[in-house]
Amino acid sequence: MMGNAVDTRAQRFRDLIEPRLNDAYTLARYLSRDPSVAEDIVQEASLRAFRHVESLRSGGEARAWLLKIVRNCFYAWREKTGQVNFQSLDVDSLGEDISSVTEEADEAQLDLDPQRILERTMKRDAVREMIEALPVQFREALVLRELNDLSYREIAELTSMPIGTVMSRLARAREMLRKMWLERAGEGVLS
Amino acid sequence: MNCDETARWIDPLVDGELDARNTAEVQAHLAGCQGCQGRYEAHRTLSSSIRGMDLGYSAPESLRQRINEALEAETSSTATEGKSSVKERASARRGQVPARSGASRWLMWAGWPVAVAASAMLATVLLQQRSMEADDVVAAHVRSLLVDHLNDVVSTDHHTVKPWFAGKIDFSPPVPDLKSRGFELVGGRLDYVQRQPVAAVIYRKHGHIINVLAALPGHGLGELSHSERVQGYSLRAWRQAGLDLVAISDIDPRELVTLEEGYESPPPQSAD
Repeated sequence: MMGNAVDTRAQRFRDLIEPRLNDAYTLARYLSRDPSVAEDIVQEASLRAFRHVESLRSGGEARAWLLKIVRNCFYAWREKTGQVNFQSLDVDSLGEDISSVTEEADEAQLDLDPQRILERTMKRDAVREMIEALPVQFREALVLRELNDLSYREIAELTSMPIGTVMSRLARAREMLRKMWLERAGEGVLS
Repeated sequence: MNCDETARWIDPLVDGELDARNTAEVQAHLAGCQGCQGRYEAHRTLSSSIRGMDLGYSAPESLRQRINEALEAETSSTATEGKSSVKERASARRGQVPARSGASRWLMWAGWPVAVAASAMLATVLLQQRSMEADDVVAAHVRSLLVDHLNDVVSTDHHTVKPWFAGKIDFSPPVPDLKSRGFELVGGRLDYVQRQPVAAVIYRKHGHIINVLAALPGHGLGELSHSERVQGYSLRAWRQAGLDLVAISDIDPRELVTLEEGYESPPPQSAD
């Protein structure tokens, strides 16, 4: 009996949670702005998801459900480590950019021209940095919408905020990002 | 619609989250306003650039391995532990979570009862499912007041309002005559709650607007509790004639009880 329950749970985890780990890691990465903290958050969130995977009623809600757990783990970490006023870009996240350029160049199989890969990767890193520079409440709204592709309703549920707040945070996030983008474009970083 | 009102709806329009009527109104404004059109274009371009850039991350293989190992530890401990208490199992699990990277030291804070916290979190998830629906009902009500979108059929005669829904929605919402209880019928319209079409019947009493939404069971209104207050509005939900109904208004909640009674025992009226 016990073994069966465990098997079912493991199966559900493989079907519903595992395919969403990239989404989970993306959110954790942008929220924490630290690759190794993001890994710890996703590991903790996966364990919690595993323990409660039976409560998922349908596969359709699995992604938002997992992301909600990731977000809770992030805020718990943030509170615990007293990073609440941690706002600007930190040295660590700039330091690891060099390795991520080469990693991601490996992934970009579609266009093998080294010059173009470099340009595209630099542009991508520049935009990632700008997103990371947004205050956390705007950053999460933007990432949940544009990178995790959640609907307003899902974001409202996940963040326990009214839809109106989701709407205004997303609008603010885009406005801030647009301004940063224009500044960077002025410096020639972005076209 | 002026620029201030439009500003609020620009991002929902970019995201395809605006209903047909508001979309038409916002677009009508954009067509005649360069400033708002520019802002809309800027946000739309930004959104599609971000999406086109592939800014997400892939979970590293090492992380996937760590998770698999942690889950194996978790399952083997669950399978062999038999009757130990939840608390004991929780601490056993904690001991087996491999702490690989230096930064995973923060996981040590998980020294509080994980199982308890996780179930509290689960309860929150379920509660939010319900309040999400309530928020949606409130949003439908507020929308109906904000833009001039209260009625698609304007009539004080229930013989006009009830047939209007035929062919527009798969069921026929009750449209009782509640004049004797002081509720004046204003009209009807179609709306959406939880992406499901609902029939809205609008009454007025003492200057307050009351939206009565009706949906097939399980189509957007089923999770509401009988009576609640959300964002300053009163909601009253009940089931009648195979439909889920919810009344919402800023009126005194007791008036909604009167309204529900009126629905359940409509005064004698000529053949419907």
